[in-house]
Amino acid sequence: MVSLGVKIAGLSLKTPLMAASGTFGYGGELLLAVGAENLGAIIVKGISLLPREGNPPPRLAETPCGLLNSIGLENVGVDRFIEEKLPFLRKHDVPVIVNILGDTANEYRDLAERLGSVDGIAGLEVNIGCPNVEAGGMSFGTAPAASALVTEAVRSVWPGFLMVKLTPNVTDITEIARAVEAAGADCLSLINTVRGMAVNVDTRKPRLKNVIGGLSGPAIKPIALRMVYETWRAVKIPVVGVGGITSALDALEFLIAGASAVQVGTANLVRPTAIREIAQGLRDYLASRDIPDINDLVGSLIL
Amino acid sequence: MSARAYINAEVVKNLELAEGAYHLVVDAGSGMEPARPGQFVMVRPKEGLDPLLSRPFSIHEFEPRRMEILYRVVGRGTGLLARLAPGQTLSLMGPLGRGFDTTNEKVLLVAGGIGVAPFLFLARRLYEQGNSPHLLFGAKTKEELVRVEELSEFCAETVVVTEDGSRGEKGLVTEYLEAAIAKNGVQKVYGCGPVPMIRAALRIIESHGVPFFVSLEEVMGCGVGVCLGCAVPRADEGYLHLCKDGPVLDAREVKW
Repeated sequence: MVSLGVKIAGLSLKTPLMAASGTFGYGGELLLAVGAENLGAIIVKGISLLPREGNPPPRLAETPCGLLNSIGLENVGVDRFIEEKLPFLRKHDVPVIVNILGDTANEYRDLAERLGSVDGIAGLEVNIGCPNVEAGGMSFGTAPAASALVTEAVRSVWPGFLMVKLTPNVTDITEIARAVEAAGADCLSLINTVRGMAVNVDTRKPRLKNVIGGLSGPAIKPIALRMVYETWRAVKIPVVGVGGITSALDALEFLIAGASAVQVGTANLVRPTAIREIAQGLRDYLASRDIPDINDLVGSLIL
Repeated sequence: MSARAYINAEVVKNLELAEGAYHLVVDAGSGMEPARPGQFVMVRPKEGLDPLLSRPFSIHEFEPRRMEILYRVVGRGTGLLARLAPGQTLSLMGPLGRGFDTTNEKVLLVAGGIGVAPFLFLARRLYEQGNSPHLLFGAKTKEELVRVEELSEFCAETVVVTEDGSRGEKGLVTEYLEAAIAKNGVQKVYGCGPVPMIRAALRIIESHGVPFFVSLEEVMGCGVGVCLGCAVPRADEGYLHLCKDGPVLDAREVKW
């Protein structure tokens, strides 16, 4: 019998596999397909204070082994999330992590405060990849000071599990990681999508209405893995790996390179049962190598 | 929850009916839940991650185990699909989405080209209910009037229109729509085809005060409502999501 259980910053997970934000809806659609026993945590679709309607279509463009999206942070807003979505999520024995996003540091703080007033939320994941409206629209997550500001704002009202999701669209991700660590984050998740673009050569139009979108899927996995490795070496808090994980072997690469857990994202769109299959693949890997505990692999990279 | 998992299906037939237009029949085994007319399936190669996303297709005809689609080769995904031979396996998930309302009313089906895909299953269902629909089917040429023989068996009347006049009336379906509605006392119109056809049809149908439901197409990520990729602008504000709200929508709900 092998153990897939992990503990990150005090949060116990049945498996090291979290469902990444935006690829699992609000849980209801896919939870039953995956099975609660295979799911470490659900990170729900990014929530803002007010509902957002998202970007005009086309919102998706497929690239080789990749997916470009410009959904535009469409979400039901925090009030409807609490009223309509959270009751379903609470019924299952899976930790619920809420991904939050905002235009200003105060919005992040207000969201965290509102979510702190209800039961059934195991933690927050802060999406700092959003445009910083008060600073000309540049992403919070691309500047160490702005990243720290948002983290501190949330930390000031949220004593529980706090994970900050880093964007890869920076020169040195470890600089941001250290700033967020110093600002009080319990752990880091990385990477968010890589900014990208595609053109239709028949119409000469961008394939996304928004022109630029975020690339996800297997195409970005080596980039994500490299950044997880760099970040793991640069900080003391746990790192959660995200980016193109579609198989147990992919997940293992991240764990060996330093991730304490991983998130599965685009793979959930490709196959709703992806996390179930990856969990089984991890069990098989451990059993076939007589490794009793998945934690034995974390950071076990041999140089 | 089998509709939330891919199953393997064996290709029974994958025939090119007209240039670039294919008819695929698969044996879905016992793993596929019964479908309703207008619902769709997500189809992908059995293995591999390129193409990464599955492709959505309206269900053309369905019986337990046997599922059929019509498709046009437009890119790499459909190009790979066209190369599948009988005996080979693909992955599919479905039935998904909301289909057509099949209550007994006087129904007119308006199809443009490969947009005829969802109407065989619908026409047969209506026919079996003793409510054979009327069909107005347009295409560029007579070759592109795919599956018209099979379809017309279930229809009270079939009017075909080709742009080159090679079969039936010459011109566009929309030129014959007015007459088809008036003559048959139509209470509801279902449409599927190119957006310009739908848009022109909507103006005519609205002027008769008849409800118009359309089966639409959009790039889909997941097919099950989680990625929010398949957004269609609402007439008032915000977006519908084709995989959950559709693929059949009330044409008046959509911003055209």
